[in-house]
Amino acid sequence: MKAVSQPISDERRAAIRAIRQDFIRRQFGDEIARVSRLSLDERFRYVGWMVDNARKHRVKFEKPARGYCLQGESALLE
Amino acid sequence: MNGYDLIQFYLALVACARERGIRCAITSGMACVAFEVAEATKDCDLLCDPDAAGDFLALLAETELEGARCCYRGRISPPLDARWHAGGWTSHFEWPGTEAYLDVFGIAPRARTSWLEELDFLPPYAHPHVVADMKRTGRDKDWPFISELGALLIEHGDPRGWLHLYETAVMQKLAATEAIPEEILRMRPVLGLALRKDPRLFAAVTAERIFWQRVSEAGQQHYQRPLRAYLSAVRRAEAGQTLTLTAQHAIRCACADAHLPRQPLGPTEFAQLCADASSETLGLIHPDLQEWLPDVTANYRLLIPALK
Repeated sequence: MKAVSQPISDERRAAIRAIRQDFIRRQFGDEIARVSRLSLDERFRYVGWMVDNARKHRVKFEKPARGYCLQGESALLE
Repeated sequence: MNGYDLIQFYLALVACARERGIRCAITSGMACVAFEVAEATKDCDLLCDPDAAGDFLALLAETELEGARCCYRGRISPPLDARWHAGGWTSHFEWPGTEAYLDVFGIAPRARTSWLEELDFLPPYAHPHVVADMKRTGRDKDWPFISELGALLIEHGDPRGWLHLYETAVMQKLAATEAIPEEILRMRPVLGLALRKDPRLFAAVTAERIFWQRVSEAGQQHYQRPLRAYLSAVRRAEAGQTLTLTAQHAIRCACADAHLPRQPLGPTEFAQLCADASSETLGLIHPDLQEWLPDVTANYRLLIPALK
């Protein structure tokens, strides 16, 4: 099924957006909800800051498997 | 290099690829940031046209980061080659000494539509419909993003967003004001429960999700199994050498020829994994919910062309 976008009024779009924003706030928290309203470049700056901050506090970024990506080599060699 | 500069590096790499006519699209974590939900990600997942794999490999071979040249990550990564990428394999790259990691997909796992046909939503990012299908992994943390992408699609007037809502409060709120097209209801009957305010909605959606997670994990096993022999072969062939990406690639193609099936998932394996996933799910849910388990065949037709 390909995209067949329906025309949507500004009012309806705003109402759906409010529901989506409420979901983001409940699911991801107030801070991420605030960031979601920033420009894309500002969001990337925020993500960069999150990564730098995590690194500063020695959070280990495991490189996760994605989709059909792979588990670690060590797991396979066991 | 800080986190923001790393993101800019990925964006510049993808921009360069597109300037060279290589069809590609950023997906997963970075795409979710583009679609408004910030996720702490420092790697880049990229969809790349399998037919352009050679061109993209050449671009990677000439792309340095802080003096580091690109190479395959570890010995486990399958080659960036259409013969394997068309069958769902993915390739993994890094720039040693930096924190840049790049995963390259040819086929978008679980995507119902070809990502190549929907590149216009917000270039250079994959379409949210594709990203949402890809996010149906076995990992719990991916699922809230699917619902967010679904709501985003509905906000843009794309009814396929209904296929991605797994948060029942959002489903019910949207169902109260927005019409769900008949075609979508046929594709995902559980949406009818939201329309009817049926109290079984939460349990049925949870069952859908459990089933999806089992299917995704079982599918991954078919790619996992042949890797042990491949890994050993690559390790022997690369032992004691410092190789360029091109030399690594030649070794990996030879090893993949010997050890990696080009199409690990066929119709028989798919039918079996669906049956197993259904059986496992039914062990966790009330039997009455079985009728709401999704038919995921459409999500595997691009990967398994022989699938009816």
